[in-house]
Amino acid sequence: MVENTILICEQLNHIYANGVHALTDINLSIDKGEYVAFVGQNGSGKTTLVKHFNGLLKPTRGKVMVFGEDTHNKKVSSLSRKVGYVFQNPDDMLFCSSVEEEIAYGPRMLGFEQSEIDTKVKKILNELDLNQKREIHPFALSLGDRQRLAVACALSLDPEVFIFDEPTTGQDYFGGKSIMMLIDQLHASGKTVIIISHDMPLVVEHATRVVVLNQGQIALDGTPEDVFSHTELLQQYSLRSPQVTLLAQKLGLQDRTLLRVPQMVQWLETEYLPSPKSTNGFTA
Amino acid sequence: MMPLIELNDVTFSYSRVALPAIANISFKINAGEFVALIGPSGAGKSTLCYSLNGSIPQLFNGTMTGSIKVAGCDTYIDEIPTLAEHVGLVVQNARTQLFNVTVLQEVAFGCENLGLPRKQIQERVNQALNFVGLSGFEDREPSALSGGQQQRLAMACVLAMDPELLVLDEPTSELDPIGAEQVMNVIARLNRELGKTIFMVTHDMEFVTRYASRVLLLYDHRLLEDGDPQKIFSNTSLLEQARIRPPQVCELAQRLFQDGYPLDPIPITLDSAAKALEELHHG
Repeated sequence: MVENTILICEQLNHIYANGVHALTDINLSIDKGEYVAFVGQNGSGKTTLVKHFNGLLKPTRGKVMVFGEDTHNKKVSSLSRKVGYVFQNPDDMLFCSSVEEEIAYGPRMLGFEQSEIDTKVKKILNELDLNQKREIHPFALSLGDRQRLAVACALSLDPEVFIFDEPTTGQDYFGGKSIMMLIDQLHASGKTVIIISHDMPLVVEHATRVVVLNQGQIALDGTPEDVFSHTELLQQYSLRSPQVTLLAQKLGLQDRTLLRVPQMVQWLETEYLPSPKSTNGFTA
Repeated sequence: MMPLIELNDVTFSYSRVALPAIANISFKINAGEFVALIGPSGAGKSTLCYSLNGSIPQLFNGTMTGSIKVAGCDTYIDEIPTLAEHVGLVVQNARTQLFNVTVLQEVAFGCENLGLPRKQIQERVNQALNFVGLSGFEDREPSALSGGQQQRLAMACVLAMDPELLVLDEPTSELDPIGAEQVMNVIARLNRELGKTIFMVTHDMEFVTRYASRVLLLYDHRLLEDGDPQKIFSNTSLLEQARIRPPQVCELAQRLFQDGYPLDPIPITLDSAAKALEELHHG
């Protein structure tokens, strides 16, 4: 379904000015509405790859097409209307003197009318629960709030595609969960979502497709079940599979890959374990 | 035996902040323990770390009450250089504490400031680099190392000063899985082979269940619970209250237990879960 494909990489190579060959022959296509996780060890090329999706980087060789257009001659400012990028460290992208100024910056630079900007900012402040903090200097916010503000800035341009580079790093469980809920909502509203993460339990709970990068090449690409069935390969790429997956393998399950706790409970209770009544000696 | 660390009703408030960052904290830690300090962001974990080497109250502006004794020193009175012989602190984002031009100079810096003889400095630097797996990196530039290597370098710097206690604030949070495993291996060996007492802040609960002998749970600036990992990670309502997500196997074992499977104690690590479930499987 060509009309549904919004992003294509053909034989993409990227060589940095210092000679580091960061990406080699990447072939990839992403359809509208997908929820893709890029995983791999530090230096495997994840961030370099996704920076090609909004034109922050251009291919050294090969081609990247975004919404049918070659990024080669496109400016980041025109691609950013369609592809929003949230940096790993929110402090890399925040620089205005108040929360509302920060959110208004993108639309202002793209020449939106003031009344339109006001409406947008108001809506986003409410959606992200930042209304009470709208006059505060971004650097006076907690890390969790700064991360939400970074998401707010990406939302302000209402792009079709959202890229999140390690959205939960440095967050505690609650902070990470609220960011992931927000990302899930974007996906549910029809947006295409791309995340980079080292947190495999998080990846399998949210993404529907996992792409493993190793030394600048795509090593595996498939559903979470496909990808995490390759335990030994993943170890070579120094990725830690979810505990549930490893536990099921230790217990001898071979024909399926389990990733999440509820699946595992079901398998154990219906197939692996004797019923609890016969094991604890009590009868109901 | 005298405890290595003893906090008695410690409260600290940063200046110009109304609420205390840590409040009424009391605990004792013996030499050789591996303590994990867990709790949500903003609970006061880093403040507690800075309190153990005297940075709080001596360098940070604020007001402290209660008493802290570490390795026989009083953190209010004894000077930070004296405390540094007993307490090695590796801060969050370890790269921010690296500033020398070479790895060798970086590791030697602390010993030089202790005024040790040249030969002893050389020995300690070699041993420390060897221990963290950075032998051969002596002439490299610290800022050009990977995140995991920088973390291990920061540990070598404090290790070379040979303190009894190592305080590590989120040593793995910025690392990829392999880097994190390597750092945790070094920390475990510091405890096991060299007998160092470890006081580690982390959000990685899998590491807590695998390595720690004791867990302090900080919530809302107070010590909510203090116990072994088994006790903490079997207590679902406590974890929910403190907004801590247990590792997948703990969640799984808890669900099976609620469904009537006789898992006692609740397994909290991958290996213990596999063993317990195999036993049930074979009846």
